[in-house]
Amino acid sequence: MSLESVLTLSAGLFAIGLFGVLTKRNLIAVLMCIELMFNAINVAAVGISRYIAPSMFRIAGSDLNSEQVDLILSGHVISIFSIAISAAEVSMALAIIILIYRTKNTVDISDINKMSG
Amino acid sequence: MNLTDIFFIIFSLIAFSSALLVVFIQDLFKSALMLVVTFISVGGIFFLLNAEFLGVIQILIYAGGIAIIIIFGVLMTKDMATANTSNIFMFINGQICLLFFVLLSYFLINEEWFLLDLVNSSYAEQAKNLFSNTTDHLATLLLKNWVIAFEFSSVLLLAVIIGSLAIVKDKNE
Repeated sequence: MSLESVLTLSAGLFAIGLFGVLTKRNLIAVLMCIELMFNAINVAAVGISRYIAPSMFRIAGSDLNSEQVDLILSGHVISIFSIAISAAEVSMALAIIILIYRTKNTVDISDINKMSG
Repeated sequence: MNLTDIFFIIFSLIAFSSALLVVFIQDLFKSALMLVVTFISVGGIFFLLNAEFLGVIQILIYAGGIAIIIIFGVLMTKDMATANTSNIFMFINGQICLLFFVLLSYFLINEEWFLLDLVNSSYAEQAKNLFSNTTDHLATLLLKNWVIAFEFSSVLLLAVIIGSLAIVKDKNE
């Protein structure tokens, strides 16, 4: 288990999610693949904060206080905010999908072309 | 190869295969259940990376909350068993995404990263202490350095609750 293996796992999950977003025809399946991509980003952020030193570690060298060492965990904070934003995004997107289903009675992407000219 | 490596390989194989099943299964409900399996194995990887709090959050919010919301959405689909189909660009998209994965992992592996030194550096003792109890230090960091973003994320969630209720409200009542 190293930085490279974690980043490769994250890249693979992101590529699968990207494939799903480009390929799926159902709106809810697209939403699920977006969640896969969010998960890949979270894995990358946590792995980077576990294995990579912040840039101030290169400069300061010997005299680091405990607050500066705490900054190693910045990746965890980023992924907490990413989780909060993805929860918000899912509930908003599902509300929009319910509205589309009420008005057009379908959730297929190729039938939703009201805005095309 | 120690126990952590073995668990990492198991969790990442489960995550990869269930993510592929999410994309390729025809039944939309089964693919939502496979999404839950992916979330749980990613939570296991968080536990292996010394991020216990994030692992619990992952299982609570993703596998508990978001998955339930998505399954509610799945129930709206008319013919669920064959709903998860692909469009005509499937093969070209597959090649593009495979190329994307290969290039991305190539550049990520060949990059010269500045790694944390947990053996012989001035901060080694502090960093080991940090990784033995990340939840404690994460709370300090979140409520000290990032407190404004933390408060604004709560405002965002409130706005989303009000907004999604306003969207789905029936206008005729």
